[in-house]
Amino acid sequence: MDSIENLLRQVVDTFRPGKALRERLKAKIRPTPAVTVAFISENSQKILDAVFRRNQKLFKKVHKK
Amino acid sequence: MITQQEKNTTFESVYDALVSDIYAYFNICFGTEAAEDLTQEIFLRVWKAIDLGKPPDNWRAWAFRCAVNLKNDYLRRAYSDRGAQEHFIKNAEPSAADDMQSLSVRLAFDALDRDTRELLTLKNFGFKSEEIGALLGVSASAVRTRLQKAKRVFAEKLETEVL
Repeated sequence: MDSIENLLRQVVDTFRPGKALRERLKAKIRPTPAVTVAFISENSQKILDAVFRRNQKLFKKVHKK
Repeated sequence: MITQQEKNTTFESVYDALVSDIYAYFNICFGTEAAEDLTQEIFLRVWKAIDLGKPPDNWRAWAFRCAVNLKNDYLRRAYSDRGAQEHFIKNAEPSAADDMQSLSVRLAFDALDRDTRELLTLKNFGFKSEEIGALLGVSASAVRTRLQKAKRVFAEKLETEVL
């Protein structure tokens, strides 16, 4: 029989999340934007950042339990 | 000033490094349903720390301090709301084991009380006795004593749960 440490490692592994669950959890915390912008100017980046921050606040309010 | 892209990159890095251990910790303590909610809460705090420009020196230690505090809060809420009922604090059902030994080991682990499972889990994650003591609010020597006992109890359960 394996050592206690090895057995514990094996059993703790059974409690870990699978890939699908990890992705689902991440999406709930940091939803991926629908549109990806490949290239934008610095000024546009600042505007988009501000819009993103505002949308995040709105998103949190909507999804707040 | 840190850009949104840098924040996202930092978050991804921290998330990928810690989500498996954090989720497993909550799953071992409370089961899958609570584990999802509590894990989400931890990483919302991670994001907040990044967004506010206040990242800790050690993300792992910080995240587990938050996790242990959240676990204690959850227990306090659970016991005050529903009484000391164990039925809602259950582990996930053992998944299909590759062999009978794996199932026996899982059943033996499930038969341990929550504090013992927590202690063995934190040790399994690589935390030293001093670090576990800091997380749980006990001395390092107390942790070592409890760990010895925990391993002994686990070994006894293994003998009992052999299928």
